[in-house]
Amino acid sequence: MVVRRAATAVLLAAAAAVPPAAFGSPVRINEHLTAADLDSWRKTAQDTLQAGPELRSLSDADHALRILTNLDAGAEEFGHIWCGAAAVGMHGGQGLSSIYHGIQVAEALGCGIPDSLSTVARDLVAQGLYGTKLEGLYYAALVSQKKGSPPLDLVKRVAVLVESSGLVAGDDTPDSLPTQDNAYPAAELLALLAELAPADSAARADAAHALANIASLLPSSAATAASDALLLHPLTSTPAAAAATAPALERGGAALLRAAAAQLLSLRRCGGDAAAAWRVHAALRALAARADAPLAVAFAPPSVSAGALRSGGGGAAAGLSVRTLLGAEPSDVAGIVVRSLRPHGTKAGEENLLGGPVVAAAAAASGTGVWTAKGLESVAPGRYIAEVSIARGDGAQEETVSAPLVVTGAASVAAVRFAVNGEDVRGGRAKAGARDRLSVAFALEGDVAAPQQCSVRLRHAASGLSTYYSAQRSGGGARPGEYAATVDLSKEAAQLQHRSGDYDLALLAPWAVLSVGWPMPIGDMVLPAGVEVPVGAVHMEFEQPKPQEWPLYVRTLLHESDVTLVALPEKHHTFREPDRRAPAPLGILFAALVCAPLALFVLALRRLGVRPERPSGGVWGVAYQACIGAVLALFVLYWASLTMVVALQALLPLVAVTAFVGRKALVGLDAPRESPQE
Amino acid sequence: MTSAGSSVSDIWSKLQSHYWQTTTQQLRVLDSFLAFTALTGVAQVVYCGLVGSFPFNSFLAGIMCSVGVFVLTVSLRLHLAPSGDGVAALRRDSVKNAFAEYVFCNMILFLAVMNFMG
Repeated sequence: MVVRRAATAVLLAAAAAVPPAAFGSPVRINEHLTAADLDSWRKTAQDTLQAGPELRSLSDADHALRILTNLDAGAEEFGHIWCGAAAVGMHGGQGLSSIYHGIQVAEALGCGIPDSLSTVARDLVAQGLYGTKLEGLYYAALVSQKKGSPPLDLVKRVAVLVESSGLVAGDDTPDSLPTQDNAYPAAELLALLAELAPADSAARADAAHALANIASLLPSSAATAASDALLLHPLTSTPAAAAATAPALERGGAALLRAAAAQLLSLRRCGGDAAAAWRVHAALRALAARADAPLAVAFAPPSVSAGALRSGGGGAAAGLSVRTLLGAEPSDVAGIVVRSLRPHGTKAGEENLLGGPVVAAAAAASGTGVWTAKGLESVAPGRYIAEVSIARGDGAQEETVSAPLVVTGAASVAAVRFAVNGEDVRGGRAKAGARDRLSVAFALEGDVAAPQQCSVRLRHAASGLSTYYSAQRSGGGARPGEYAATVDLSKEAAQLQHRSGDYDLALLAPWAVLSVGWPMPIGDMVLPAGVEVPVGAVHMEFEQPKPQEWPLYVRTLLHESDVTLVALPEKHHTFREPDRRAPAPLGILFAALVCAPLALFVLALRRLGVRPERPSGGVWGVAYQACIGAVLALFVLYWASLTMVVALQALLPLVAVTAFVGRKALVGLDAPRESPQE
Repeated sequence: MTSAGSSVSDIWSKLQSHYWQTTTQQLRVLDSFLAFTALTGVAQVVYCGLVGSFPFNSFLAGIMCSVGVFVLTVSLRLHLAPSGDGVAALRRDSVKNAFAEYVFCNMILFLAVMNFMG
């Protein structure tokens, strides 16, 4: 740890010895917070709160309420949605973070807050305070601060944890929050503890040292991580923290502040994340509150036509907008001077199109923040960078900023030629069909840079459907020239949706001078409308295409009906004819016929002299007959109701008994035969 | 024609008289039982020919029962009938066995018929 502190000190000392300009080209601040941004954040916050606890966490609700508080927007209407969730969070069943955010939400919405924490919550806070995880220390300390005072020995542990986990160097941190977010909660926590610690105490010194280390993460150029600029808020949130980080901010100078401002402005479109929006807003407010905060300077509008400059009356004038980062008019601007105007792409000092410095005058109406700069009537159409010096306060403090300016030129269309299948159209009206080719050629003239392409528009008069085709430029050079477009109707019929009828043909040429890759955000540019030149009218006839039936799937998934929405043929089940069955009397007759041979058998036995006057075999014989009868009865039962398993289970012992009894009966039958022989 | 018819009647009368002289009462009982089972089978076949075989499994079970009993009874008769010298000495010891086997096989046959009858 001692080695790391020494290395950090060396790095900071080296950084202090290097002038800010050596960090790279100065960052331009041409944007500021607008009413649209505030409305977006307000809507984000309201949507977050409206979504409710089922879709959003207490942390989201807490940050959303902070945004609404900062924007002076009411939030009482969300109390019935979030008070219950806040009470559940404060109880502690959802973790330490929910306790803290639950308290915050309850305070913001005016819900009831218990005087003391629940047992569960107290245990969680104690575990967090005396644990080694930064997240636990963070939330436990914030909750303790709400309910009393956190123990000051936290400072030492937090400071050691911050340094030992390598937050300064941006290394991976074990047992803590993800790397990018470690510095923010650590800075918040240290700022709180530094403020609570007595002045000149060791605790405050430790906190100040750790805060200074975190401050070294602030961006010194636009190339560092955009989220580092968010640290400005926690590092300056308390007087003790601001005092601890002031030396680091002084060493960074204007370059650091401009880089932080550029990064924060790039983060302001947060995409529905309430926590991110609040952090950006808080950091911007912290930055804008500084006396040396950068100002947003831009030409308003950012593009002006050369013709307007020349016809400005008594000297062409361009408007300069000077605003704070929060979009307000600065109150300490003493004067503005446009020192130079150079073409885009050149370096500062290489070229100056102005004869001398141009002093901008404040606008007649106060509060607009717009200054007018005269003396630009000789500026030709093109892209330029203006170096603007701003004197602040009593004029002793001056800063130079860059602002881009686009001067547009007028273009005119000449030598328009409209042909169908190579034959020029007379009178501006033509007829064409699906096999024809339309061609349009024209020349673009004016003191402008050549646009890469112009457009040809075909608008269906009845439906208003417009289709655009590009008119490619022929030849090279910086000046505009010939442009031509060809429309093959046989290929474009589908694009035109086979709509027959009258079409208006027009040319579209851009008014402004632009090329691809303009560094300014497109959304802030205000350009005059392009040139629209009507060429003529064409009556077109198209054959309607055959309706194409698209299958749902290329191959069937399970059934033929997968690939079509048309109803399949109805299926009618055909049952087979029932088997021919005999009438009941015939069945009874043949049942009697089958039984008839039994009677014949009995008659035959009597004729043969078999007269069972007494059962043969004696008792065993009778028993044997009974066993056979039982077996047959079991078979009938099996046929009627029993299962094979049950029938076999009954049959096996019955067969054993029958075999024993049968043997006895046969022995008994043998005995009377043997005795007469003896 | 008359000589052929008279020869047939002579053969038949000689067969009858020989049958009655040489066949024991026991065998005659068995022969009567064989005739009984054959007639039941014929009756079932005539019924099937007249009105159809539905239900077919029951028809097969009935035919299987008649034919099976007929075959087992023929087998028992072969055991009991005198077939030449040296066999009479074995008849008394094997009669009981033959009868026991006949009863056991009939039990299995009837179990199968009851299972297949449906």
